[in-house]
Amino acid sequence: MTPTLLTIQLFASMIALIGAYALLLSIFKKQINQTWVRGESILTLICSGAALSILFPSLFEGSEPFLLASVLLLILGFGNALALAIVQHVVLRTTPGENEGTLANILPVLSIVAFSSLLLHVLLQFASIAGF
Amino acid sequence: MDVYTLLLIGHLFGTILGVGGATMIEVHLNKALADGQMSVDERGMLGMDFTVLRVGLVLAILTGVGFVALYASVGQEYRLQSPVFWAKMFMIVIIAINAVLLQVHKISLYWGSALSFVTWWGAALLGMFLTQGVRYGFFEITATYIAAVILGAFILHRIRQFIQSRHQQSS
Repeated sequence: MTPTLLTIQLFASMIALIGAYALLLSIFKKQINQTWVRGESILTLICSGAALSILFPSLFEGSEPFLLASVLLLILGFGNALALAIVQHVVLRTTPGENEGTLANILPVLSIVAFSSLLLHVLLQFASIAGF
Repeated sequence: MDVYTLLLIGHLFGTILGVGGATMIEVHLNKALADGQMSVDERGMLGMDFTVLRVGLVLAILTGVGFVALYASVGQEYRLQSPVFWAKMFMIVIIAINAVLLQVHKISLYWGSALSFVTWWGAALLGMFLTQGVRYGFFEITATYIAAVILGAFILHRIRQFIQSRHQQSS
């Protein structure tokens, strides 16, 4: 991977992580601001998708274990970000009271998993770059 | 001005905002809780402090990633093997998780405020160590950090009690 591509991927991963973190904080507030949550989930989705598009070939190149684990965690984070974006879309189309209980339980879980997996992805990638 | 210097300035700026924000949160929190109630103005002030702290955290994190990318691009990846670097990463994670736990009230003010305050100062100190090439072991640093959090929680609690008792005496 060229230094430029690595820099872009690192920043994309980190912005995705920041988005997931902001999403986590927003979802656990007493009153959820739907506009903010939607924006944060889209930011997380786009940036994790961009990072994944750069790192995905590493899965098939016989990369070292830390990098492989990092990519797998990025896939998990991206998957959760996608699920969050879909759930957000469903929430906005749902009338109050309909499916609210189920959705209220799913959002925190998805946001925790998205944040945790993206955090571990970043840390493992640092370890991979360090040559552990 | 080269990339390294720009990143350093940005990282320092972010750290200063974060450490300053964490310190002012403690000061304003103690003042707000002196009378046992938090007014709208006090809540607003604390909200501003939290915003400054979060801006500092984001700036420090983004410039930190810039350092990692820079080291990787100039063949200095060995710098990421430093135990001081990993101790600093551990503290950044603690800061982030602590903020979430405080938001959902799953951690008491006694421990939450100490974790925030001590960890921000600790991370700033470790950043200085990294720049100066000062080297300690990861577990050495972590043990010192845990001791600092326990001591810090006790001291901050005593300060809070002192301010509250002084407020009660004057009112």
